[in-house]
Amino acid sequence: MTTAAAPVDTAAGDVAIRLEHLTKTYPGATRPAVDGLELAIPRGELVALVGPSGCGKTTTLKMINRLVEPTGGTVWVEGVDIRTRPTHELRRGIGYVIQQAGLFPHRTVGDNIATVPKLLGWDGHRVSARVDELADLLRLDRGLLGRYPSALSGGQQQRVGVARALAADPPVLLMDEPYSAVDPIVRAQLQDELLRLQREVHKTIVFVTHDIDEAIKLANRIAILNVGGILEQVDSPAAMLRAPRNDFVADFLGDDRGIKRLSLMTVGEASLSKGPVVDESASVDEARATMAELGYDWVAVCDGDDSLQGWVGAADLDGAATIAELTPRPFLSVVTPDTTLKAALDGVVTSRTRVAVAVDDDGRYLGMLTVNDLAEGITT
Amino acid sequence: MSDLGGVLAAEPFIRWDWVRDHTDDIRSNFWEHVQLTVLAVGIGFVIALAMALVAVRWRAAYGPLAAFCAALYAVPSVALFALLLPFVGLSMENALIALVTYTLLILLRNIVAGLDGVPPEVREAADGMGYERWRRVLRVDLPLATPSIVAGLRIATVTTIGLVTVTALVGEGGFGRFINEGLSRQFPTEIVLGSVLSVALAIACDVLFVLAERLLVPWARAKVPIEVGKPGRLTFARWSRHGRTVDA
Repeated sequence: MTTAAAPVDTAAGDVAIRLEHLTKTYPGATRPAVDGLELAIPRGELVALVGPSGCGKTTTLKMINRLVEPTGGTVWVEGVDIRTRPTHELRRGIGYVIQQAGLFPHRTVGDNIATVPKLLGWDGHRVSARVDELADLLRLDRGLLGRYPSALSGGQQQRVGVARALAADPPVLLMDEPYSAVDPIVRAQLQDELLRLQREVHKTIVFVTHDIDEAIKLANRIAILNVGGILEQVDSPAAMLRAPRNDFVADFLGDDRGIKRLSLMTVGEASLSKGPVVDESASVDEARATMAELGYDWVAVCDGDDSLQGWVGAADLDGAATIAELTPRPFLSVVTPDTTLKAALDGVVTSRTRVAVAVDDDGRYLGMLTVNDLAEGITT
Repeated sequence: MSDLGGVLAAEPFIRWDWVRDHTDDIRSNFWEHVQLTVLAVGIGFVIALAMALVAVRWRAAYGPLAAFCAALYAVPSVALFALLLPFVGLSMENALIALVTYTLLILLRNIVAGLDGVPPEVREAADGMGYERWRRVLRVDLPLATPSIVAGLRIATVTTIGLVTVTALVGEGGFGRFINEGLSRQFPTEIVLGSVLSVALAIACDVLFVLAERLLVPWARAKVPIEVGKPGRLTFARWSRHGRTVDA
């Protein structure tokens, strides 16, 4: 057992947290909750620990801030063996967010956020400046700072919980199923906010969840744990969805792995078809020729600036000489380069034309996505 | 007692001229009553808090401590005063020791219930933020246990105010002095005066505690959860309904 605060081998790159043969056997248990776990968490990444109940993911998380004491192995945080530091000091340097937010009901929102800075003995001005800064960062109305947590919605409480965890600007953030107690709409908002926040603060985040979709959405890297704290696979979400290492991982990812991969890719990354498209100045004969060439019974219409006007069907053309005489119908599903391929797929299967039409932010036509184009995205 | 009955029938319940002539006695007995109550509840609270902190830290100690306090609580008060006589004589100590023993069970149970009622996720968050154990108890656990602790103090205080009258038997007594004298002189005015003032003091203290709780627990003003098995207003209601039994 090493007790010296020697720096961990840095040759392995920029590792913020290293779990070395980490083991926890609870008193009276016959099997370990976590068994010899080896995991390196790179600095600035969000790593999701995912697995079924009893896989030891929360136990693992709590061993990083010593809420649970390991029975074997070592946790290195920023190159320091955590056992060499007094527990309360270690914890003040690690942000911690839990499921029910766990706000102090007897303290105002502002005082809740100020918890760790006050424990660290910051002076009053610095504390209140920091609280204001965090309220802005988390987009919490400063008017809420004087309220008690019971006056807040679940989503607001969870934002305050994150603000409180970030208050002393710790390099590492531990999040234990932070969004599992809020409704799906708020959960999606909080997830989007976490992604935005992470782009600004670049923390090393260990995120425990049982929701694989949440992990795919948020994580740079997913660690899938099996019952007994067995690490089955660590990989980026895309790599894991493309190549699950074994049946357990594949089962856990679900039978819609392809669709899930679509949620990781955007329209901008896909190759678009040109599709049947004509300028509004085109003649009806030209439009018919375009339809026939590509095998469609409709054609998209753009104006002189390439701006998408809509579409006209083959039957609409009868009796007209040029497209300009007709009123194009709007496309039901128009996507932009930022749209996920999963959302684009939804557009494809629900629209009458069976395509999702892509335009840029100024409404200029970029191309179309068909089911074939989307399948291409998954298989390559 | 039949004598007393006859006298009570012949005498008016209260002679206001006697009351007017004894305002100095009322004042001094009032202060004595308040002093005994405050000292007894104060000392009892300190002892009970210490026991509660021990019980929360070492859970196994709670059973024996509670049993000890319950045994003390079960000793009849008149007998306890007499039992203490050989050690402390007729004195304020005698009265106080007896009064304190009757506060312990109520206070211990309410403090422990309050500390147990701290939501586990709040406690975990406090640990995770880096509170040292003692600091967490002081800054998180005890403040959150305040409603339950105040509920215990209310019951203990009201009980003690009633019991103080009995300490007249050992030469103390506050308003109990009127009752004691009234009984020996067969003079109803004093009995009524002592009883009414004692009850009035108890009610006044109860109201003070309600006001104090509002000041001490501003965060809970909007929501006052009353759940069976949890301390709160219900504790007092149960206690008073069953006489001298304490809500478990």
